[in-house]
Amino acid sequence: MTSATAHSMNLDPNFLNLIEEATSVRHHPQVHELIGRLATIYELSSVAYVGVNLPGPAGGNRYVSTTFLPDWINRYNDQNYWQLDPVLKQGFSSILPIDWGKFDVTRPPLRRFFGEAVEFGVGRHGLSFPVRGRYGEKALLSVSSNMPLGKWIRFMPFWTRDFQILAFHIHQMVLRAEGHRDPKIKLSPRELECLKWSAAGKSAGEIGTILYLSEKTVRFYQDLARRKLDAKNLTHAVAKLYSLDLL
Amino acid sequence: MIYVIGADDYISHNHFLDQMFRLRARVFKDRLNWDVQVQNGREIDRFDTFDPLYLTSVNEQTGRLQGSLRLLPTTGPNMLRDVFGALLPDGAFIESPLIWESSRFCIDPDLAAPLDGRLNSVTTELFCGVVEVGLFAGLDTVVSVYDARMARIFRRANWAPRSVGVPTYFGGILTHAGMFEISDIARKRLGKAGDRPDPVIMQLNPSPALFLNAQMSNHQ
Repeated sequence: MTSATAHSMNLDPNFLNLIEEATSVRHHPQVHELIGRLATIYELSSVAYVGVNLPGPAGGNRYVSTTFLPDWINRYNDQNYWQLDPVLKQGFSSILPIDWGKFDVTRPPLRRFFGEAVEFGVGRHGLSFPVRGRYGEKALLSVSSNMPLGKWIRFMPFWTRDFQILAFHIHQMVLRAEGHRDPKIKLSPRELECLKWSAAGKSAGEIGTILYLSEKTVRFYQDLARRKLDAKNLTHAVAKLYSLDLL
Repeated sequence: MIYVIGADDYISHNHFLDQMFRLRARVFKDRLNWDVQVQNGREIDRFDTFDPLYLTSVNEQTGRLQGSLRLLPTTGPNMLRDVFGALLPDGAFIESPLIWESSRFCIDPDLAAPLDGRLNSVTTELFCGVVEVGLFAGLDTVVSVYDARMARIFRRANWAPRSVGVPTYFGGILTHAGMFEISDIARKRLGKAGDRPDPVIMQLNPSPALFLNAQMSNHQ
């Protein structure tokens, strides 16, 4: 994206191929396949993707694709580890990458949880990468490894950037598999609301009262929407809103 | 000292966040007269509902908040896309897993500015904090929307942005969008300009700082 990054970009063909493949994936089985290949290429013990509140036809659903053993998935569901798992809890609130090594495993439930995970083939070390999506949805890509600690610590900073990029592309891939298509023009919720109320015949002042905004702010959003829609005036913008099926 | 506060820490760090929302009201409404909504003396907008990461600079002696800013990934809802989209060429937007957006940068106006034209130490601390957090997260760029007043501060901090798009008037203020480099070199330059060579983030939670140190020593 920027020339400044070229020197630090990973030019490993495996990494670049993964991204290229992710961009062409359209269907669910391919999502799972690619996540498996990611584990193989990076010699990981496990890879897990979890997305929540995804847009699209299956809107609001949780999407999960992992390389976990079926036994671990069953155990996880049976014990309702969805509630306990600190990686999920933190991964869906913070935006910082999460080093599993920082969780306090002296607390018995967590010690048991991570202990069981390792028994079921999850690596001793792990990193998780939160993703924030265009529509306000969230996702988390987690990777784990059993490499020696010293090597793990050396690899982490380099992997951080790789996996930030991969996490984003995997998320985009899941959205496509879910049947979500990018609309050409994206209006923000505020812009849309302000235009919709104009379509209903309300003045900027009235809309301001309805949406608890100043009249000036309403005009501001309407003007942004008008520019995005490449419309000559507010009436034209409202007409385009309907003709482009943006409602 | 910089505290990095993510959504999982909002409750435990509420005393800093509350001071921050009050400071934002004082700075953006009272002093700069921006078109922002203030309720109960606190400036909070809809981007605060998307679980951003806050950097807060706190005076270690008094526990008082000295300044703050807000970080949001550009892959999700952010101000440049949703509010200041007109700054970018028609239909263009910035959406990268290696670029976060910084917004609502503010410093307590009661803090005395250095008389010799040097950079306010809180400004330096916050800028260094952005670079350190960015390195931790593997970023290469932070994007921000700013005015002429901030442009002077960036120049003095030796952290000049590369401008993107066309400066545009918003609410009577000529507004720019710029890309700021996140790198060890940028961190060293900031440290030199503001006399802060050592890491500014000593998280209560030890791991990110350890992780950061491991990362920094690896980059040499």
